[in-house]
Amino acid sequence: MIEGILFYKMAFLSSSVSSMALPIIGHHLTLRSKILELFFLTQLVALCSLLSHLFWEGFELLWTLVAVCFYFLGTYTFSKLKLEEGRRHVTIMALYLILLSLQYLLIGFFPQLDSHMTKGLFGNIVTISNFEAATVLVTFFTFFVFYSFNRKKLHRESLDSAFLEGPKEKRLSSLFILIPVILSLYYLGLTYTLSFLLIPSLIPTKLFPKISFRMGGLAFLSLLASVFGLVLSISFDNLSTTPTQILLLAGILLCYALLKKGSSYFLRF
Amino acid sequence: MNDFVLSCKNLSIGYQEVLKKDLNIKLKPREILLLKGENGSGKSTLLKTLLSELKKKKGEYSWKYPLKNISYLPQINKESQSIHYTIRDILEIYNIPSSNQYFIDQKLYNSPWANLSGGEKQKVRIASRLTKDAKVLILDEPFNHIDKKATVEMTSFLSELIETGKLSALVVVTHKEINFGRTKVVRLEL
Repeated sequence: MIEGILFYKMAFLSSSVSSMALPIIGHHLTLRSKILELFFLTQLVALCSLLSHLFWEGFELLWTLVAVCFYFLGTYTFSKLKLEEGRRHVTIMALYLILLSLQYLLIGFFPQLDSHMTKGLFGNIVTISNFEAATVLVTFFTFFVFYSFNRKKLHRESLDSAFLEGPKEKRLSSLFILIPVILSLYYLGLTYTLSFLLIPSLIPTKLFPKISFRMGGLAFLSLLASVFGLVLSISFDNLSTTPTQILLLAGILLCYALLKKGSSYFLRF
Repeated sequence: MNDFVLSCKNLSIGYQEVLKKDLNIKLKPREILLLKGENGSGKSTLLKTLLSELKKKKGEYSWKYPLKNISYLPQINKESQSIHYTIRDILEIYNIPSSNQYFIDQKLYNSPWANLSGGEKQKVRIASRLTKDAKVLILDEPFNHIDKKATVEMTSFLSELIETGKLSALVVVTHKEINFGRTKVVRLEL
């Protein structure tokens, strides 16, 4: 077992840092009402990923930057268009579907991209390359450094967004929040990233009343799910890594909720 | 000019077209400016202009303090569901001095945001604007969706902030009849 863990050490490290950071990022994205935009972002990154495999294999980082630029250009355009909320949601969903259709169209012409699309959807953390793992580690460590120095400011901006209904967006903090998400989408997969972003935010406030405990607690429970999921998938050939990690995450959070206050909390939420 | 917290001379406001023109306001320290008017009369446009979010069409206006000392709470139209914070968390995050928190029931400090009533939530929102830098507070329809008791509590607290000098002045947009007690109120109908 130890040999297995050492062999997959980069996968364990990437999985650990990403699973601790994503619930924290998800908390802020939820408060800032960015979840729908996130779906638009996922398809943008997925399309850029396919294009990178088609044209510039080996220049993934460049394509990641292209995805980042396109995303910020898109959100900037949305802010300038000043669409009313209902119309904005429909526009984002339309863009999501257009980008998804573009990917399937690409696969029709270039069937060799099919496996890349599947990988982009579910990811495969076990086969992460050293370069990919290093990129993920550097990005998430940078996020943790930024977070530890700007924790209060970040919470204040997110709360302002929830309280004041869309004040001016702070571009710098958005960048620090979204770059780890984009990298995670690119290298760890859409399902993994979205699950670790969103599932922990379903935990009711009462289970972690104080925000610092909530952030720490969710990061710890997600870390447990991610690492044990990886251990299980390495130990049992039939277990796919990402689905195991996600189901474990849901299971651990559910068990925690049941142990702490009883199942009524989940039913009420 | 600087004897006044806010001074407007022949100010014209609006987006593409001029909505209101020749507005003249003089707000002294320890006064409350009460802006009243029908829907669409230009109350929020005036606030946006005074906060430099919107360009003035004509005329002049000046604040005694820089914009960083002017705190603003916009009108709240919808309730955010996913605020996983206790009241204590919120007050700590905004660095609200304890002297500006006393009108919030201490028993509620450890309550999650979601458990508060509409009036209690509005009190916390107002408290979140009372940072140590705040010299002027601007509130847009702060008494919406709040019962009579909570409105009375809030107005007496706001008057106290002015009377004690914790705030230099207050600007309130409301369509309700509000009594601020002994505090001097400057009324402007738009």
